[in-house]
Amino acid sequence: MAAKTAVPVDSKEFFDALAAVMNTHPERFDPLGWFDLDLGVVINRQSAEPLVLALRFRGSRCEDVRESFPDDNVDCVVEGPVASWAQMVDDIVVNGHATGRHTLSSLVLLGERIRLHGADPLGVDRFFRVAESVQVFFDGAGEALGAGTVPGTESLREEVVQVHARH
Amino acid sequence: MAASGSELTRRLPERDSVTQEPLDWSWLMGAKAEWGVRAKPGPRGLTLADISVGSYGDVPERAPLRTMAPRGAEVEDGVPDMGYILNSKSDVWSDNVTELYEEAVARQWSATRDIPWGEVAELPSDLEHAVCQVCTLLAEVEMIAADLPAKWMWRMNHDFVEAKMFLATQVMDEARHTEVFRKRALANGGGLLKAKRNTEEQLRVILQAKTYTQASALMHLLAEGFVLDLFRQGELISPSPLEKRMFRLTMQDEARHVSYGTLHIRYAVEHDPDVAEEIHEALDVGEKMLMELTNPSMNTALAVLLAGGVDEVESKGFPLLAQLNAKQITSYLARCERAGLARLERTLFPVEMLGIDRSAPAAAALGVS
Repeated sequence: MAAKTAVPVDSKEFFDALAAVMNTHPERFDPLGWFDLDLGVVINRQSAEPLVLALRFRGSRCEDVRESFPDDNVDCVVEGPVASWAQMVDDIVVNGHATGRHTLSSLVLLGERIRLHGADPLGVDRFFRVAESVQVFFDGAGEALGAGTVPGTESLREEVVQVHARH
Repeated sequence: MAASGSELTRRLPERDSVTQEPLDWSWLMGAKAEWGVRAKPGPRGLTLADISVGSYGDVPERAPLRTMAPRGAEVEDGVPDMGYILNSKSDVWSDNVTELYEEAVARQWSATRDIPWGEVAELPSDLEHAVCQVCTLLAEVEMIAADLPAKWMWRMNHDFVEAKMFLATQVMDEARHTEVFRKRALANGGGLLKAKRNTEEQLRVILQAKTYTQASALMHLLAEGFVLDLFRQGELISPSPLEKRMFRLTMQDEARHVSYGTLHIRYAVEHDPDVAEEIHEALDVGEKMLMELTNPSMNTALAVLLAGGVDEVESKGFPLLAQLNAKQITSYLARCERAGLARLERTLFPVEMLGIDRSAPAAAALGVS
């Protein structure tokens, strides 16, 4: 079960915040090398329409977070239920970065919880070309949520840790 | 505005003052160069795409000469013939090659510096043995993807220099992969284990392919495609974060090579439909080789890693390995389709066992959505 955070994971605001973290920390991405990727994100919800976003990565920046996308407008799509996304984010908040089976590469490998797909196999392979950078983008989740590493927000991190301990 | 070449040469001596030999100022005349064409840098610096300006960006379908002269230079009469045999663009080109070269240069990493060797974890003996066996095989096979392009690069016409430059990055990548797997085998008290005859037989088939495009199909589409999916499995087979990082970084490199090969084959087939049958024949041999020359040592080592040790290798390791092997085959067949090769009906892999209908449209059958 995921912790309740100030900004819901299944919101454009969360991804805007992730983009802001990336764009203010080029030093985390430059050593990995620049990358170009149009990544679709689909977060499925039980009682609402899915959140459908297109993230535009260019160089060491996330240049755009848009709602919805035509099928041919992204290289590939990562799609899964909100609970799986929240578990990944929780792991990042607790550990500072995704660990073990909570990394995006791990989650999409078997595709049981989060699936990687696309109309073009080359677009899917593009994800593998830059997977480390994409992971570092998501590893900014703690800061995007204002948890853990930002002074004064330790309580949110503590809440997530407690939720993990209970489950 | 700077003085023209002809104005400048009027002010210059015609002969060397010491030797009295005639001086060559022809280069100062600008030759036939597009004097005044200026490549403009973008936010990342000056990329190969940025310098594809004017006629310099025109890559001929058929190279007019066989020299090392840079494409776009004025070539003196009587230059020696370098004996290139790959003189058509379709022999080597892929439409993503300049992007892949820039990406490769930007995303280089160091097996010495970027792997946390200081954090190597003490592992149970079965897991350390399995890691060492996997690394032994990878240290053996990775260098084929350096040797093979190196074998062909000096036969590629220099007019397609961007393709040669990309393949040079692949050679460097594979050297680093050989390095990182050799280092991991030696880093934790295990060492190099079994090198098998079947593996060497497989490598020989790839290395001895008759044409570069057949070799590219065998190496980029088939072998590296399978290895790319194996590196993806690093998420499950890695006993510690160190191995995970090793597999993730090698995976990124491998995916570039596969992307080049996919679009090279596509370019070749589109520009010379007859080549499709040659590629199919090579892949017939390659698939047969993969099925007949299996590597039991690799499979058992992977199964142990997937199971987290020998105890659950039967109940967990082998079933998971079968699942991942199926993914390797479907990914490979999807890339073949993208490359313009309708391979689903012809493949020798037992796709029926994976629940794939050969007669269905490829996109649906292979789960490409």
